[in-house]
Amino acid sequence: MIAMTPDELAVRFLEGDDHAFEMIFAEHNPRLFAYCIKMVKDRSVAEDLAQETWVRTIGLRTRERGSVENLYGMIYRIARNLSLDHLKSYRESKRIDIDLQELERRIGGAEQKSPEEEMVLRALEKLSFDYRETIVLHTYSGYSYEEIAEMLGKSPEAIWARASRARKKLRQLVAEEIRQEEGALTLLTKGSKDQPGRHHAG
Amino acid sequence: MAAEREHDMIEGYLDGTLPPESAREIERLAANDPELAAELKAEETIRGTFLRDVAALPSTATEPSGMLMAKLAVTPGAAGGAALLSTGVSTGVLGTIFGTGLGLTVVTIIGLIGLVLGAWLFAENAEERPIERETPTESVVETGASPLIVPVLPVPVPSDKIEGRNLRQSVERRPLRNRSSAKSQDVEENQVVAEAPENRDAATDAMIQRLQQAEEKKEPSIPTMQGTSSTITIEVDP
Repeated sequence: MIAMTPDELAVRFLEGDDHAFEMIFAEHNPRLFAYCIKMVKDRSVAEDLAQETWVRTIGLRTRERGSVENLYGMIYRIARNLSLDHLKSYRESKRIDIDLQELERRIGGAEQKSPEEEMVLRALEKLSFDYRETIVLHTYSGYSYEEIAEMLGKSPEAIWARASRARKKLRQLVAEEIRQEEGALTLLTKGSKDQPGRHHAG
Repeated sequence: MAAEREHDMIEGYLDGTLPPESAREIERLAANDPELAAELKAEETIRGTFLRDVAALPSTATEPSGMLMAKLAVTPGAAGGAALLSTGVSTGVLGTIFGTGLGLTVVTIIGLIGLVLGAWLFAENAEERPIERETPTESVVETGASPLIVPVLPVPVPSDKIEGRNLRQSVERRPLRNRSSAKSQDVEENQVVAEAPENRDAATDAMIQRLQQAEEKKEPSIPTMQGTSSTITIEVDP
């Protein structure tokens, strides 16, 4: 099999080459799934979203030649819109989902994370959608900033700047939590030093 | 820009890509700035978390499901179809052009061959073909020794019509003496009547005589049509 560039693969896929589709799928489905799962935080939903993304991607074949200039960007935008639609409907049924997540934790279905990891992931969820998306695409999906820029139709410099701001914001949020935690620990330590008799008394 | 520069500095410091002087400068600043120190620690925590979280991501399929392959099968690609259609149209157009050209060439060659053959045949025929005359000619009905000369137009007579009716008509045109009896008899009887010397009139005798003179002079004559069932011979004399 002759190695083909991503652009060649995209053209071949759009012209009806099923093998090209399989190659694109093998390369991008794990990334797409990682993106979806980090954005919607639900594995089964992420799988459904990824599947639907590919179904719609196949539908791009019916478009006129030349109308699909950036296939990978279009795949990403499909996944992004599906994720946003899901999050929109998720907010409407947030209580139920939170209850289900709590139930999943209780029965041990969710993976146990350290307090530090939970702190970082909580901070990540506090970021705006654009910031979180940039970090997820780079960190979890493994796209370079140049690839993200191409997918989003922006310059690499703009994406790099957005990624820097997103990372700084995340860092500040985590640092804030660390400071609060350290402050709490300090207070706790100071309090325990100031009131040794209480411990002894208790 | 400050965020980007700061990000670059922290990333470089944690990656170990900063120059030693810059790295020492960051450490000195962090020792006096709790906020910067917290950010450095936060960045380290974020990195470690991301590394573990990415590794803990559930695996997913790297091959399309059967449903996707089925969807692919029913979506052959209109772009590809358009390309195929375009190719087909262009091929068709080219084929029409070249096909027509080829066809015309073949037809032209056949036409030229036909012209050459026609010209050759015409030339061959012209050498052998006798001179056609538009003037009325005489048909000679030979029924033995004394043929009967009948004036007729030079109309080609099919061989199957030599016998019978045409002959009778020719004979009937003759002003026979015993015409009433000739009309009531068949061809053979007519022939017998015609060849009878007593039934000839003076004009007929003169024509017979002239024919005999012509034969003696060996004048050219047109091809002879001969009957098959009897001795009847029709000679069209120009």
